[in-house]
Amino acid sequence: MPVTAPTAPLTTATASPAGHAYNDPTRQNWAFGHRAIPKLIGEVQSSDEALQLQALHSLTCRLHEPVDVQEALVAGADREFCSFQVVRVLTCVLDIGAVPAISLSLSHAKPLVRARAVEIVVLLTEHEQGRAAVLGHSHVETLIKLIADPEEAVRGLALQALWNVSQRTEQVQQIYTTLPHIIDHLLRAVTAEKSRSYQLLARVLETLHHFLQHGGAPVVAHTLKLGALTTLTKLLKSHVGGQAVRAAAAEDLAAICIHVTTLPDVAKQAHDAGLVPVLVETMDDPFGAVRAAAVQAAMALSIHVVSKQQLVAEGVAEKLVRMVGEDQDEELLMNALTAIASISEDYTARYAFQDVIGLIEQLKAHPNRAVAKAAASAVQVVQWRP
Amino acid sequence: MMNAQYAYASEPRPAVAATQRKAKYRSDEPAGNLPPNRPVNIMYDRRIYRGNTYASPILPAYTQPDALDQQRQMQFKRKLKAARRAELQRRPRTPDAVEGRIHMEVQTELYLEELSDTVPEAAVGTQTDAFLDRAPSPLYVPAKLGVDVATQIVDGDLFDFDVEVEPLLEVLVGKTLDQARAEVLEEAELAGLRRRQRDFAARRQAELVEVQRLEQAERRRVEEKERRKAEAARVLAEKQESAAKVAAASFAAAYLANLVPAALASLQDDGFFYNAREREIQQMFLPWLTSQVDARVQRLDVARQLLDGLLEAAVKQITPAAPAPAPQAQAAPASAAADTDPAAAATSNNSMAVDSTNQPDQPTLPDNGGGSGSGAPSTDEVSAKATDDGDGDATAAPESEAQPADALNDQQGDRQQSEGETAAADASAEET
Repeated sequence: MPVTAPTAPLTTATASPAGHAYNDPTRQNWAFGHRAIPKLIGEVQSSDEALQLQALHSLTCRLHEPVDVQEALVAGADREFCSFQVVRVLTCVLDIGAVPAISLSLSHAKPLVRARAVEIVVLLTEHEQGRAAVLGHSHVETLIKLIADPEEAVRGLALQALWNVSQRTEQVQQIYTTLPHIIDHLLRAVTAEKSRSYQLLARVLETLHHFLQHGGAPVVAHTLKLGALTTLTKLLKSHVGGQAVRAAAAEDLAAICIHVTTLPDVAKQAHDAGLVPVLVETMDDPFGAVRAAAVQAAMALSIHVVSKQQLVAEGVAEKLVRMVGEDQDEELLMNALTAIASISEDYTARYAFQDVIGLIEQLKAHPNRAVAKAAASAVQVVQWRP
Repeated sequence: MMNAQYAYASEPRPAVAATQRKAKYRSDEPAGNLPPNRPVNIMYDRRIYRGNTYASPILPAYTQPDALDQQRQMQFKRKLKAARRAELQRRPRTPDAVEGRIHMEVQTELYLEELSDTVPEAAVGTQTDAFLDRAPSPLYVPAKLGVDVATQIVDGDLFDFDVEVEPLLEVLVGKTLDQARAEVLEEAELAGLRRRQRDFAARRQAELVEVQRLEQAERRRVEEKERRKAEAARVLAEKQESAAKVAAASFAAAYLANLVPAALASLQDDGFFYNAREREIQQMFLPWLTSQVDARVQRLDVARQLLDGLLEAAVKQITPAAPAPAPQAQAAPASAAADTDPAAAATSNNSMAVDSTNQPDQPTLPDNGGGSGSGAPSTDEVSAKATDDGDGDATAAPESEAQPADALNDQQGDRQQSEGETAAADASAEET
């Protein structure tokens, strides 16, 4: 079966027809027992492209099992001494296991090989040991370059891998310390994927959200310098993509706006970009996830006094009142109540929320503790008198 | 059936086994005691050729060792041996008859029977079928024990693909389904993890916003409090300043009410208000006068000393043996003169000093830098100070006018020095 064109979706069965024994799908690799994974990893480094590709295919099938992931990470090490702690050190320092073996495959000329290699990285990074190994062997830089790969599948898998390795603060800080230009690449990918794939655009925004959330003020400042707030505001305003894209863009804006008190550029750029009207308009989105994210961004931005006044002037109070009265989504209710508590520090908004004080009182008995706590705070602020 | 009347050239005899043939050596046993020759079944006689006589000759049977025959021979041999052993071991025979008697075999049975060696025989001819081969002797097979079971393998008994492939297929399908299920579970688990992470992130975000709101509110309160404190402090400072101003104003008013007279009085006491002529007379004329008087007195003193010297010289000339007067004696008149005339004493005491150090015409004393150090300033100096305090020329102007004052001061210094020497002379005079 010939290899499909680059634009067509990749399938496992489209391996190149070589006269190799492993091309027969009925001869499964697990017949080799414990030797399967090391054998496959050895074949990944083979000069025979068909064998290499087949080995990559087989590994993508095997690495869904956590035990096989462990085997793949320590393949080549002395099994008698592979305790958990030793594995964590070995996979990050020495050239053993699947991670260094697929280094060349990540930069292969064929898109199918690159796609399979990146898929293996994705499967490995779904486990903590795999993430540590990938970070230790500096594959992140290669993944960053693959964000701009001409093949859509490769881009998607590279973004998924970056999403996996950026789930914790320590990992994000390690990546940003060594490769700060990742933010530039992600923002360029936002612009590029707007005209290519909305699914990948959502993935880019979710990955960017990880870096904004865990990277702290330095990352947010970096994004502000690159005009990310303006870009995201335009993206949200233009209604490009589906709910996933809009929700991810709103979440990114919320992650930026949370630093309004520590970074003075946030409020300034939010005002210049006209973020407040866009957020208030987005609160009428038909999808709950988008509304929740917009409310979250407004909630974060309302900490700033000037932004709070702008929100009140744009009529956010009515939107919040409607959300509290009609929506049942717990995350949305929590964000709306927190936003009410923040916005009610402005006296005009306090007057607007007096009509729904009873409804907010009822929400103090909500089964979700976070919602109940937010409702209590909101009631306290709304009923405050000088 | 052969006819019994047939005559034979050689009458057929029954076959005799090889073991029962005529012995090679004569036996000592009587003929009656020899075992009778038993006929041998010709079916088992190796000497008889069996098989098709028209066929190609094959090896006669007796040349091929027949296993059954061999077995039978072996058995027969064993039996003979056993018989011989038994013969030897059997009970003793009847002893021989006593002399004169013979043993006779007599029938003692109830019914007598004719005993005869001649056995009624009947000759019967037989001939095996030439076309029938002798069946091979079956091997001795011991009696079977157990139950015989028969079986037959037919097509499909040993290998049935549908049955045999079933476990393989179960493994393959099972493994595939297991892996697919693991993947689905993994995806569900990951989706659940991510949902929990999102929920946690949302709760964390809300709590963070709440914390920031409270922090900002607290910060605003603190700033407001600081502003009010600063405002209150400023108001208080202003009040205190106002009160201080008022107090200072009142104090100043009270103080200034008596300031001018007090200042004038102080200046008056300090000598800032003086009569210029009087000051001039006191500071310039009188010192000058005094210096002139001193000079004159000194000249007089010198003159008198010269005169004294001349008189002494004259006296000496007149009276050469007269001792030289002691220096104290010279000082005593000087001190006596000083008692009456301090100015003259000073001049007399200063005669040597005047000669050695000072010149009456050129009294020298250290400059006091303007001349106003010890003495009172001149009127010009005072006027210069009153008119122009910051002008350096004003200080320079009085300097030239202070020169006479410096001269006066120098003369005063000389007077003081002379007075000191006079005091020293008095002391020495008292000692003598």
